This record gives sequence, structure tokens and C-alpha cells, in this order.
Amino acid sequence: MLYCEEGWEETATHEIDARGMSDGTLRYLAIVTALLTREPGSLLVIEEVDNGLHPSRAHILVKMLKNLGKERGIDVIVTTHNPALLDAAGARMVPFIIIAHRDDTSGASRLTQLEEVERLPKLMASATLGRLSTEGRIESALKQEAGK
Amino acid sequence: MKKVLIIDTCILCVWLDVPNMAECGPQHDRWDRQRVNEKIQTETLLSTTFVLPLASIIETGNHIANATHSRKERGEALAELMRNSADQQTPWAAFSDQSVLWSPDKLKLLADTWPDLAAQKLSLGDATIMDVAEYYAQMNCQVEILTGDHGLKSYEPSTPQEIPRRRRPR
Repeated sequence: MLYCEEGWEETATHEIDARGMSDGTLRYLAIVTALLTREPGSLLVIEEVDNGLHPSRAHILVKMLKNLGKERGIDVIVTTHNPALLDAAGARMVPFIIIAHRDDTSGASRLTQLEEVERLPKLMASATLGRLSTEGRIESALKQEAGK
Repeated sequence: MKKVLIIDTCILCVWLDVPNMAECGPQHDRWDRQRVNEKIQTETLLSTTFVLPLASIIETGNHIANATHSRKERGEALAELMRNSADQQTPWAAFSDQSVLWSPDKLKLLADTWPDLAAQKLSLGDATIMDVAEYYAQMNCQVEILTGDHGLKSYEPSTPQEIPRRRRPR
């Protein structure tokens, strides 16, 4: 079991178990545990990797996933809706990002490599990945390009 | 791989016909308006994106305002280009994301490195153009700096790119 000692300054601490810990803390610990214990050569898929995590910690998460994944030889696939995580990933991660979007006509889901977006160099001239995603500009570029 | 052409101040001045700036570059590799036009036409056919760093826009604007004649007319020409690149009219894009170039960390790095470059007559604007180039190289674009300055021209990305597995030889 997982326990944590918590308390206010200058008062007695008390022990809490996993049920009392924040979602973000538990999620982070679970991801680190998986990365430290899975067989090398395996694949770790994490949905909503940063749920419950403070945006200012996004860069720590990205760094940990990259470093531990590399160190232990584990491939990592994550999904996110979080602009802060996209900004933490930055321009260097562009070749590794895939956009999940919807085809307007058929309603089917589609996956597109971010670097295949024709307008990407222009979009990236005006805003970070996170802001582009928040403003829906990557999605509208995809729609425009699909309509051509 | 997408290609990005970054336009520096001296080339922009040549292209916009700024008085007394009709040519730039060393004698054996001279850029005049015709050569710049030809280059822009060739790259347009290749679907290259033309990136205008704000530094190039500001420095060119300064040259126009300080020109001996045709200031209004040349000003209009630059204004038209500014409108097109702000609207991202193909093939132009204005590099307006300030966080990449002017964050406190970047500003300090520039403060550390630029005085030596100044001694080699490289403007502050040109120094930031290398950062724009680096930014696009990181996202795996093919980058060319269009410039008469050979120091800038010979730019190579300073950090190696990370290559996705799908592009590695099996």
C-alpha cells in the first residue's frame, strides 16, 4: 500500500493512504511505477496522461516520460487535451505528435501526423502548439486542407 | 520535408528596392533585385513557406524611413508585405510568436552572445534570425536563410533533431 505523511506547518502530521491522495499524484506515481517495472521493449499506452496534474508541472512530466522511456527501452504513447503539455513538448516533438480529429462528412475519427499539416510552418510562426490547439487552428487547417 | 525560407533584412531591402540598398552580399555572390525575384519564384513553385522575422520587418522599416527619397512609396510596399504575412497569405508568414525569441532566458542568452557578433558587424536582428532558423530545424523543416551575409548563410542547426522510428532505416 501507498502511504503519505501530511500536515500543516507546526502541527502534528497524520498518515493518509492512497484514497486520500490527489488524482494527479496517484497518476504520476502509477506512470513512474509502470515505466520502472515494465519489460524493456514493451509499449505503455496512457490515456489523458496529465489529468489532475498542475499545468506548471507539464514540462516535468514530458521530461520524465522521455528520459525513463529511453532509459528503460519502453515505447510510450499518450493522449492529451492539455495545451500546457503541448507547449512543454515544444517544436522538437512535432514529428512525434499525431492529431485525432473527426471527418465532418462521415463522422469517422481520423489520425493525422502533425507534421503533415501543410500550413504548420505558418501556424507555428504565430503561436505555440498549445495556443494553436486551444484556438482550434490546427483543426481548422486540417479541415481546410481536406476540402482542397 | 517542408521547406522554410527565412528572409533577412538586406535581402528584403534589395527586394523592396530601398534606395541605396539595391545590392547586398560579397562580390562573388551578389544579390540584386532580379536574383532575389528569381529565387522567390523558384521557391514559390516548390511550395516553400517564406518566413519574415519581425526583426527583418523592423530593420527594413528603419532603412526605408532613413532613405533619402521614395520613403512613402517603399513604405507602402513593405506595408503590403506586412499585411500579407500577418494574414499568412501564401507563401508568406510573419514570425510573430515572441515567446520563442524574446523570453527572459533568450534575451539573456542574446545578451551573452551578441556583443561578439556585433564586433563582426552582425545586427541584433540578424542574430535572432538564427533562433528562428533553429526553431524550424527542430520541428524537422528544411531551413534556408536567404541573406547576403555568409556567416548567417552557413547556419547549421546546433542541436541534432530527434528522428521518429518510422524514418529510421529498418
